[in-house]
Amino acid sequence: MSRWGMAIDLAKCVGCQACSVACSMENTRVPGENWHKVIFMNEGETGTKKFTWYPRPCQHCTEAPCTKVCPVRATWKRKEDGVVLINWYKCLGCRYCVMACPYGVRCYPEVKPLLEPDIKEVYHGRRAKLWDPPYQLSREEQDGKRGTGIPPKGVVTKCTFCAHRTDRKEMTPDRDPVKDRDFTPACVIACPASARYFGDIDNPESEVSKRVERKGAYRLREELGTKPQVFYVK
Amino acid sequence: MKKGSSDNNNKRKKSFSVSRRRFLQVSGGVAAAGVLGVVSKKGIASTPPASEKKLPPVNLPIPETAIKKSVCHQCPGRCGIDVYVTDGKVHRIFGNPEHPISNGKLCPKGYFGTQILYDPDRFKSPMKRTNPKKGRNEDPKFVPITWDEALDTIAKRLKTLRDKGEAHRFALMFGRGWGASDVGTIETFGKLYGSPNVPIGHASMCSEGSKRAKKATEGNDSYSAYDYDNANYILSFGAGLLEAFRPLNYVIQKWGKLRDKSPRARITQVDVRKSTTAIAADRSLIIKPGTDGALALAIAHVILTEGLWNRKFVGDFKDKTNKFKTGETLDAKQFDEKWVAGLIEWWNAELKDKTAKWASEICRVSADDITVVAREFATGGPSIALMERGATTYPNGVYNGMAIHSLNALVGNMFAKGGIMYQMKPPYGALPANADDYIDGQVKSQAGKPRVDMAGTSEWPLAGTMLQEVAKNHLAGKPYKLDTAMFYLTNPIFSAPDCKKWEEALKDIFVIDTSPYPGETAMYDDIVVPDHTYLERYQDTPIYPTYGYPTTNLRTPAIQPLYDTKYIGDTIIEIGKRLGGKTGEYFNAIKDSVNVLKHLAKGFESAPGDNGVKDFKGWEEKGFWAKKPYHWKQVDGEFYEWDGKDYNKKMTPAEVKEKLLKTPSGKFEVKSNLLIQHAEYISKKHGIAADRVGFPQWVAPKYTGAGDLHLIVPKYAFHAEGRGANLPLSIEQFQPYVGGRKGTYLEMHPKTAIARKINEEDRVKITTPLGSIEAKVRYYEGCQEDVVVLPFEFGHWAMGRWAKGRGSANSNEIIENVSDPISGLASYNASLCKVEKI
Amino acid sequence: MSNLFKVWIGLLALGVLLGLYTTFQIFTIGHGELANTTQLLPWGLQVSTYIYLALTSTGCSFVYCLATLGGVDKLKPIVPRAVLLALLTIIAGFTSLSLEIGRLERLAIEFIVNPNLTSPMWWMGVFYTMYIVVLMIELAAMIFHIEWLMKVGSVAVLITAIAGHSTLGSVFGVLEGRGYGFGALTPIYFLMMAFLGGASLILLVSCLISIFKGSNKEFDEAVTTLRKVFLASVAIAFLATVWRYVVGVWVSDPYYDLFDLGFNKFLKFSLLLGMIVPVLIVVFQKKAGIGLALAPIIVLVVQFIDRNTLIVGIQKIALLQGVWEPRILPYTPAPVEISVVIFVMSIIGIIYSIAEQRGFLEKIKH
Repeated sequence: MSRWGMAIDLAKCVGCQACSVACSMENTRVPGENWHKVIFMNEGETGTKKFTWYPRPCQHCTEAPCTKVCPVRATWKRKEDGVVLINWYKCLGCRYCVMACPYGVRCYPEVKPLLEPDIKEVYHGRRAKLWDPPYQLSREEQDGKRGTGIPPKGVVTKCTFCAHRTDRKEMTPDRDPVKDRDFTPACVIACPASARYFGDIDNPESEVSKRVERKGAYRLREELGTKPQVFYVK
Repeated sequence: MKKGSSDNNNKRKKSFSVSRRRFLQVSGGVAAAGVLGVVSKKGIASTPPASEKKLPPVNLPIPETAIKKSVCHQCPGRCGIDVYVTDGKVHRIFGNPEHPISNGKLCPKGYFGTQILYDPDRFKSPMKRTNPKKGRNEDPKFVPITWDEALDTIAKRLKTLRDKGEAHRFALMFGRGWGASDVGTIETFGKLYGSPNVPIGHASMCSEGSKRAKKATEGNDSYSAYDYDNANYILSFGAGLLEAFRPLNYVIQKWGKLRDKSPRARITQVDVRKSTTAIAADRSLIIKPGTDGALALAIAHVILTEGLWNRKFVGDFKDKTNKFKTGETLDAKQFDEKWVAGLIEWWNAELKDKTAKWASEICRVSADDITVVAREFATGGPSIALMERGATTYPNGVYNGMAIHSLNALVGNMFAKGGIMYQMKPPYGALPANADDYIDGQVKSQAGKPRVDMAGTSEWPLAGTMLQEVAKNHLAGKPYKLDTAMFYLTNPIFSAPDCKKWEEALKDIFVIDTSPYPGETAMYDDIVVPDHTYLERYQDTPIYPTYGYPTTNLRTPAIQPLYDTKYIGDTIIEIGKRLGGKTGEYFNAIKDSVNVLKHLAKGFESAPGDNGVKDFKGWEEKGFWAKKPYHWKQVDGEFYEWDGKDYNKKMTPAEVKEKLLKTPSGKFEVKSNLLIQHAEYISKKHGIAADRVGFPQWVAPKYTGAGDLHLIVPKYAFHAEGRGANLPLSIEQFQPYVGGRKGTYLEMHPKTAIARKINEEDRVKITTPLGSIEAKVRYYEGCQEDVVVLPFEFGHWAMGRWAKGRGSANSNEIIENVSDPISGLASYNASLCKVEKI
Repeated sequence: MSNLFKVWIGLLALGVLLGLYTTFQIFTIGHGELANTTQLLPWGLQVSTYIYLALTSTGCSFVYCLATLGGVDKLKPIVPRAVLLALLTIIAGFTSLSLEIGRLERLAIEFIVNPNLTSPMWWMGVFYTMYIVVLMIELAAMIFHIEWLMKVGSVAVLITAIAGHSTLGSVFGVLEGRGYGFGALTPIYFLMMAFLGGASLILLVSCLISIFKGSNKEFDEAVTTLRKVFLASVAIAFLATVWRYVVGVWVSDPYYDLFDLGFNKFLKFSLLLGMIVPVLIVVFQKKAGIGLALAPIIVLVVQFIDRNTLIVGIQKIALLQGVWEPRILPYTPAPVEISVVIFVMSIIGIIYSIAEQRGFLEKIKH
């Protein structure tokens, strides 16, 4: 088996959100449609609050609840590389997957805008294209079957591990953000602190596997048994 | 070996996935069709096992996609960028992997570029005002005009002005200057036109305090370059290393490296609140605003009394025993100075009583923490102490800065490995004409007028520029009233302290703005001559102090300009041509800005860059010229110069004075001759004895305003040179720590808020003697109880559809225009205010 | 036709017209742009209305099966009414749901072409489709007096109702990440609550018939029995609700916090007003009339609000969103959502009222 996975080094992450912005620009997301988010936390009792953050892409769970609940298999886990994708030509827009995702990573962009004026109105789209800004992926990279590019109205969208980029090249153990730039997810390229590692987590030789092997690696909400392919390491 | 084995692994996996695919095909499930419909493109199964480098035949990088080299514009950092253009549209920006600052990375702001280019609110052509009334609520009623009309109007006006002998009444004010093709041209224009006010830079609203502190001590009137790679300890005094320091991208890259190396480099952040940097640092010292200097002096005191200073750089007592004892004065003769001048005098005059305990009361941190930090800093090196605005935007800024910078001297990191340098300049070629040959008699006859901002006069003798004074002085007619003002990359109506003054001042000035965006200043325009955005223009950008060795980048247009706009350099050149006379001759010889750049690039012929760039064409293709190494190095108190192969050439004290420590003494001065030259002025302004002015010392900050809370106005990571306010993606994630997703909040400690019966999300009034502004509150325990934080970004009344009316109001409306008398830096963070619930 | 009835039908017709206009808007502008559902809180009032109506429909079927299969002969007069109400409510429910789906046009084809057997929603669709078909057959059998089909139909209705409704419960029961609805209890809870909804609606309708058509002996007996059925259904619902809450308050998972936060409302609104007060009314009001009708009205209103509280509550705790979102997400229905609810309720009302007024339901043999 080969599965794309990501390791995020929280000791190096500085919370700059370059990943989030690069993702939004690469994938043409509307404000509030956060395929990638840096989650800032402010936890604990008053007086001793702890301030922390962690970046959160789609976790691409091995046992993905979203794929199990979709009534029409519009979202599925790709066997070849373990990436959870969504087919915008099949999606009903019922949002059951949004309900099912324990990490809150799925988006339904056709909602009231986070910011007025609505950018979807400023760059007005059609039913087949939610909005139509001058900056978007090239036609070849936009593929509704994998959910890359700009979605039609009324469908759910999600992080694809930049499938339009990773799919350009066959599976390799590692994707170096500089050398393999055109084949690596935008968030990994963007990270100025180089806190993100992307590669084949089933290949023990890959950098990401080695990072995951280190002490203290963990996954989000492990108790749910979803077995994310995104790991947090120190 | 390793690579081969992983290839084999891959092969095995691939054959496995082939059989899996067959299985799916045989089973013929709908899922198989669905999955394979997509994955056949991926080529995992359909191509035979191949080496990693061989690409499948589909979905390659699309050939029509051109990658244009350019330079980011969202901060002064000057990161090289790769701009992806397909079908004439920019759709992606990444860092240029070869560029020594960006290294293929960008900070979050870099990616905004596309939205900045396609901003729907841009000015689309030159325009003139048809509504003579000016004001916040006045629609300028701009109508489009031709470039000829615009330029002729301006040239005619300037010519008339000069003919009247009033050239000085034209001012050109600029914010971010990039290089020879914009500010260089402007400066020449000023010289030829004959106005002392062309240009007036914005440094006094930026970070002039740090430059002046460095000029006073090490002699370089410049920000510093840092050797982060080799540093083991960073002591940051209020520098937003992870938010606003430049180049942010580079600093974060280095931060990642410092965290990865073993043992991990340690970072201590001194701040007035829990900033992102303070949270991510190993230790943070949260101090009372404006007291950084006291902390630095106490650290120096600990370093000296515990004998931890670098003797090879600083010098030592003649008998090699440490005689620094708290409270005891010393005889300067006992000490052999090496590269630090005036240490014993400094000790006697200032340091001897500045104990950790003393500072702990002023700064409100524990004396133990100060002592520990001092020891770590002095022994865990190479160490760097750094600061910019955070410690210097107070009336005592330069003294704070000098105290901090002196720590670098005490540990001897000046020009050392893992230490501090200044930035080398690129070897530009000469322009086709020498401006000095074109100065006409009219200019000479009008020389000698003071600048309208009074910088460099007896009013502000040490300040290089005082942009924030222009409106005030114009209104008072002192020294005179301006007639015409032109703006380039600055928006003082919004960004200057006491900015409402500017709204009055610009009413009777003929205003020309070059901004492509409808900013507040542009709303007062009489003529708009919109610039290209950065992705549409050629421009040279030699780097800011970063890593020492010289680098200069070239912006090249990624696409043809979207609208009828013109590069500022060309606008100035065209105005110059239209002025006629000798000025016209000069600018005719210069021709246009690209011609300027081509001449600059001729300087590379004799010094080809490390990336092979030796002419304009190469510069354009690669996007930058850089040449390693940095030429100087200090090792154990000896200075060496690069001889072409290594740092072999030992430097004499005279050479050090000429090239490195450019102070009168040729040493790092902890008794500053520069300040002593202005002793009378400083002593009057700061109320300190004239014989003490030269020493880095504790001067209690005179806070402005009135009230019980300190108003801190930091810049955040998404502050894209003022343009972030109209970028939906920037607004969306602007103030992450308190969840400012739609605007800005006033960050307030819950105790402070509850004492005033303020709930989260409540609207409050922030009041200083200048007036009140409104803001929304979020609780943040990272604030000190007497500190409230309102990020500088929002509160625009123009600037575009997303910016207008968004967020909390603009803090500059209530920040008093008070400046550090030495540097002239506006004291943005020195305000006291009152906050009450509305 | 009385004037009062004309006004009533006129109001309902207005509701339908409003609904048609809203539907037009939803298809031209887009539901998401109009509704107050968000990225993080995707299911709002329309889904909870659907669940409420599905629950009521199931309950109607239960009551009706009590008569046909349970041998409670005294309930016979309400049998055709129960079947019609079951059918109308479930169809109205689906209308409410459909108008919230982003890509309605794909629904039918994708459900057939791309079934996902692990999806409770898919099974829910299957069972409810069967349920609707069976209800229609049952109604037809009644109209055409086909005895054997009525018998078989009743059994089929019971089975599909239980299957459909508990599957609907499982739609939420499987959401492991969302504690407020997660668990094996949820499908059972749905079933137990269903009885209450059905019994209330039928009791209400019976009371209204008594009031407007004048009492007759047969009906009065049915109402007497219905009162007992109602009390039993409240008892069942009480148990289900209380235990769900007790478990919820007990568990210390942060996602169960909503149980704590809503405790006051639960106690005063759901239990005291929504169950105990109606029980008291029913115990003391023995005759069909406005007094008695008050009990089911209270229950129906409280249940409607409680369904919304439940469905929205499941989503209300922001999942791993940090300081960017309030810990408890806000939600108030938008006008468009409310008008869809008015729309579907009006459909039920208008069809049922006309059927009743024309005496259609009395002609059906039972």
